[in-house]
Amino acid sequence: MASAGSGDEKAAAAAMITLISSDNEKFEVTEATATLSQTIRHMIEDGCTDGGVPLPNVTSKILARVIEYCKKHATAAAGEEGSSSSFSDAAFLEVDRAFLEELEEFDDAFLEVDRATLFDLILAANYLDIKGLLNLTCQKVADSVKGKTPEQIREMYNIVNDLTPEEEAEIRRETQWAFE
Amino acid sequence: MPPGGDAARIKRPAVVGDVDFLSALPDELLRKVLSFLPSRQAVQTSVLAHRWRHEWKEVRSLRVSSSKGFQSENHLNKFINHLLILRNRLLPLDVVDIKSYNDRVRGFDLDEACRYIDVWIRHALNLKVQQLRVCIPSYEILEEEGTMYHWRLANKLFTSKHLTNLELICVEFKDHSLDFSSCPVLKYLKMEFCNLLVNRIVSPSIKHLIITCCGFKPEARTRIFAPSLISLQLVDCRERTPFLESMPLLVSAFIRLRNCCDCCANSYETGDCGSCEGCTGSNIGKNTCVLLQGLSGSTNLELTAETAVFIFRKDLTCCPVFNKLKTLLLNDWCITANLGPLISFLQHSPNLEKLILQLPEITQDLKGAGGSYDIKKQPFLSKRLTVEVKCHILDEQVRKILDVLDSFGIPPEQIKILPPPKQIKSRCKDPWPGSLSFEQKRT
Repeated sequence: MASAGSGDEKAAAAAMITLISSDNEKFEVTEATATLSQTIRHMIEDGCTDGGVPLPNVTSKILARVIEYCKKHATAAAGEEGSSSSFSDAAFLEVDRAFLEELEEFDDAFLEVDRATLFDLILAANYLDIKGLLNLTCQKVADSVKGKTPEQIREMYNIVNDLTPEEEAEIRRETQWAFE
Repeated sequence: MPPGGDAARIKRPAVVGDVDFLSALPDELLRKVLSFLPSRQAVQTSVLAHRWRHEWKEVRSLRVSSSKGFQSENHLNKFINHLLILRNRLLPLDVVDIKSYNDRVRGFDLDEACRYIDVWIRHALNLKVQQLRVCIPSYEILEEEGTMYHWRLANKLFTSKHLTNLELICVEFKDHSLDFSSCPVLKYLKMEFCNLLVNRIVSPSIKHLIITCCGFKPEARTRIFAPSLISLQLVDCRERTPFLESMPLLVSAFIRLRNCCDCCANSYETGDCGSCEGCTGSNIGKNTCVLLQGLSGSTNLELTAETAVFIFRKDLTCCPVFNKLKTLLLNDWCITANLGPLISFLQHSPNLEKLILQLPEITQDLKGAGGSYDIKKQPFLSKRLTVEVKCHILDEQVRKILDVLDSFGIPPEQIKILPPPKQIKSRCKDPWPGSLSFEQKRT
């Protein structure tokens, strides 16, 4: 019995990857979860994941969130790897509708974070090359400024206007066709 | 790494609320954020600060999906033309979403609003667009009068090695063939409120096809050739129901036949009265299956139709076999005097697991063709079949169906009686009960 048990453990361990955050915290994840990141996928393909994958640009706090996202989306992404478009086949098979609704709810809840975390997630998604997460987070930021005037955007994001009134007038003249 | 190393490296101001996270993004990511904004707003960010002045020129999307903010069709056209000329013209456009100018209150000149549509589409294709949506929203102002204008596009317009998603709303194609063979990676095609006056629609590559509220030819059947299709939705199309060629990879299909002209004015069950326009003009050979042969390899089918539409019943007289079918939803059309269509369907679906029957409130009488279906005396082959009957009241009609199912080997304990489905609002006029409701969780 014992040998059978250790065999199972071995098989499970073979499919596990250790991710190491910038503050040296270790995260054990399945290969299916980890390979949602193209960056990690390439490292696995190159066989350089023994002893763990150091991710010096990602803190443990953000990495935990990213892994949460990948776990949820790993199943949905199965069979979609390398797909360049942003839609999934599953979205059109009505049998998967309940799951997709659940996924959407998850995404909405996932994005309920403070601004600093949201931008850290964008940077992490970019570094780890997780297309879905990058689109999701960038869309969220875009939605936050949608319909706002330049003045409102400056105020909302503390953007310092370093243009002189003359310069600003000049840019407005140049792009008048977008303000009409 | 020493504790606090990160904090030392990235000097953040004491009050986090003051950080300009947006401007701190690398160019590539700032442009990504801008690519999700309506293009007009993306261009307007040029006045935010120095950092922002030229960023919009490097954005890989064009999104003008609302006329809001544009004073007229000329202003919207001028905007898109300026943007296309002044942006970094070597940079591909991944996503293009254009809705031509419309203003219900003010009114507008459709010809002027659509003046550059062809040029924009060509330009987008040249710039390797992957996701393209073109909407000519004339229906928003004209649906009350029952007239819809459609903007004609050239059949050969779409040629691209990069296009994966194409959505067309309120456009028209005419003549021979609408052929997407020159778009070898096209996966998703959606056409809504379009006039598809063509003999064939061809795409060897599409996996998902949605045709909603479109008009086909009244005098001939359009043939759809899409051998890679995985899912199909064909909903509420006018005139002649299209003919489906072989779709061996199909998994799910949702078909709803309403407002089409495949109806018998004399209420003949299988459209063979020989005198009305609906029957005589239907051009179906005796042994031709319009839809069901093409759908016969599917796992999930949702087939609904008004009682008068004879296509499904006529198809069943040709006895297609549904070997992979697991879930099936049917409604009004299969309830005839001897339930021939229903029984025949079940006898030719050996692996069916779940049948959902949505019964009409009032049954319309049809002139029989009861003998034309292939009905054997033996019980249904599928052993695990469960049935849900959705009905308004438990009346004679329901009891009769239960009796018939029982006689073919489905005992009452395998049948659930449920209330009728909710009325859902269709974009095409009146509501219609139930839709897209496979109610099956992912396994």
